[in-house]
Amino acid sequence: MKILGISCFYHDAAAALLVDGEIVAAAQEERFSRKKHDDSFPAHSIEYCLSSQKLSIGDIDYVVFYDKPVLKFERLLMTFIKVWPRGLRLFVTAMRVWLKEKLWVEHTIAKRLEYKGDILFTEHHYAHAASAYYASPFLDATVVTMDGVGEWDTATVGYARGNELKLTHTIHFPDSLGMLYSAVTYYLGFKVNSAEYKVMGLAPYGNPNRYYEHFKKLIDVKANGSFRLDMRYFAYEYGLTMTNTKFDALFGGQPRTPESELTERHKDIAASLQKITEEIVLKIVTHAKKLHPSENLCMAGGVALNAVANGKILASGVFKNIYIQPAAGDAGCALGAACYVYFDVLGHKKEGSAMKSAYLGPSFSNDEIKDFLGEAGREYPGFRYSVFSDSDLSSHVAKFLSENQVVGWFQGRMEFGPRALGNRSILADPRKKENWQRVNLKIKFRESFRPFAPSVLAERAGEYFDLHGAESSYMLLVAPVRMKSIPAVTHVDGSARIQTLRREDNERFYDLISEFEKLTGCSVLVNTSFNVRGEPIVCTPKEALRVFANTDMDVLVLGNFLIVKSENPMLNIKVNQELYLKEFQID
Amino acid sequence: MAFAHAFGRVNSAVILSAFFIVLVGFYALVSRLITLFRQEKRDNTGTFWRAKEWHKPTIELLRRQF
Repeated sequence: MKILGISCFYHDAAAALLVDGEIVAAAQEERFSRKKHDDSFPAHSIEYCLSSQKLSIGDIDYVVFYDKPVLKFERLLMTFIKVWPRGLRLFVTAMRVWLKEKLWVEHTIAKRLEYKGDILFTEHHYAHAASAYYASPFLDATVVTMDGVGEWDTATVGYARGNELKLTHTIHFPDSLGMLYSAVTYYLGFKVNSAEYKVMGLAPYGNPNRYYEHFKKLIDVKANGSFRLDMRYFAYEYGLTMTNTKFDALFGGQPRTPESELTERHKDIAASLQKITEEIVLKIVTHAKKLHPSENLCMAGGVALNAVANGKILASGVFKNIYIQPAAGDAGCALGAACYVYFDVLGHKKEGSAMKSAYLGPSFSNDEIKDFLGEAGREYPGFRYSVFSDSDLSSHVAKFLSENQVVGWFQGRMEFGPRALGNRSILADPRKKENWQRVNLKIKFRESFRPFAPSVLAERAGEYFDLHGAESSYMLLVAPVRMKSIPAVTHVDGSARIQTLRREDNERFYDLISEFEKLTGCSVLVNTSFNVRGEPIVCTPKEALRVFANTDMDVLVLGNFLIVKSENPMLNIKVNQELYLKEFQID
Repeated sequence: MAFAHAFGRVNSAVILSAFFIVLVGFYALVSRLITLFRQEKRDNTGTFWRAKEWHKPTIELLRRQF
């Protein structure tokens, strides 16, 4: 049986293909369109999913959309009525999009794909929940979802046993932890639905107590984690902004202008928000366990990308095992929607995980890369590259890393989800503190406060990080760093967002870190996504070479091919750098 | 005659629009009162969790967009 899951029209459009109970392909539209968080119909992603399995749309048994559009439309109308006469401008803006596109999803899918089969619609939070549970290795679990908003739900708790999934309790819009986080993201001058992770990264620089009581005014939290927002401070129900003047008055000033200086006040607001978020998340999962006892927790929804809060859940010991969907945001709903139909609705037995890894995107063979490099050679006369055997590649690249060279690492299938997990990564030596600023400012062109994540060999993880024996395969847990020897990946509060790596997860990346360990005694590498600020992670060798040429990266590895910047001065095309960076909207 | 006819049409449209606005306004007022009442009631129970309705998932149910 073949099921195609689709998410689109809000943010992070994506498609995922499930064949006989296993996710065999998944990709976000932004990686093809090169527009970050692209929400348009995921035509490229669908085409990739089908072609990767040599299928046509006629082979698909069901196409599943990741929410119920009419319920969402109902929320829009009810909210307009509730806030009336305010919100007219927002309503008119929204109605234009709804009447043009969002109300005709079924027609759009049928027409764009020329699909004649069944088109199904899951509830948004069921798609989130399914993306976590069916992708997990568990056969029973407590399930928690938290995001901005689906149809009406903003947070749910439930349980899963075998192939069945049931959400039992919910919190409704406008009370939303995701919306609260996004509102503060907006207030701090960052892009909503995009840069929430920056607020999380900023928080450790601030004092979490300074504005804590202010946040208590905004949100009434019960002992069981349920909450209600004081909507007098927020504008997202009726306006084109997230917060209003009452919010400004409470926090002592207007929203920060994007790209302006980040003051102590901004850092303290971020820290206080993070503190209250962690408290609420911990209360919710504790309550969920009381309602539906299990040793296993499955989580998804945008809030589940808050790796610091996830780390607090881990440290609390409430659950023995935690699984968080690596594409916990809306992109993962494409995958969840397909799984929900296959397992829960059609009753197929769950045996292990439906998602074997996050490497579900396009890949390029060495032959394809060689052809591309041939083209590049015609464009850049004198272009030089080397090719290595599988067994020699890791040791050569590790040597460059040990000599403090920054390496662009492009291998195999692209990752699904927001994290680069060693196939579309920029790598550096974590022992050199200066690499933090160097990679931020000269390669990623992003804010200097942003931390970097470490990738560590799983069997060595306990030596470097206080992970309580857990694994963090998808870089979704933050834990204290135990060693002082890796300053480039140690945040100011002594923590790190960790990727633990087993050889069976990604042999080539594992071997590279092993070789680096042999040379340096360090089992960790800096691992950040292969892109510049505002750009989606690279998908093709061409995009990788473009980033390489426009940044201070030293070495590029495409499959088994290695390109050294110093041997190719013609690639140093920084005259075009400004134009290149302008292509991407700052988030 | 033509002017009167057009005037009548415009007038009807205005009356209908006004009626619609009053109706929506009244509905908004009532729904806001209901919301406030419900929120107060939930607040007294010490929880903001709502029970989530559950229907056995079937293909037929998933064909619906609501």
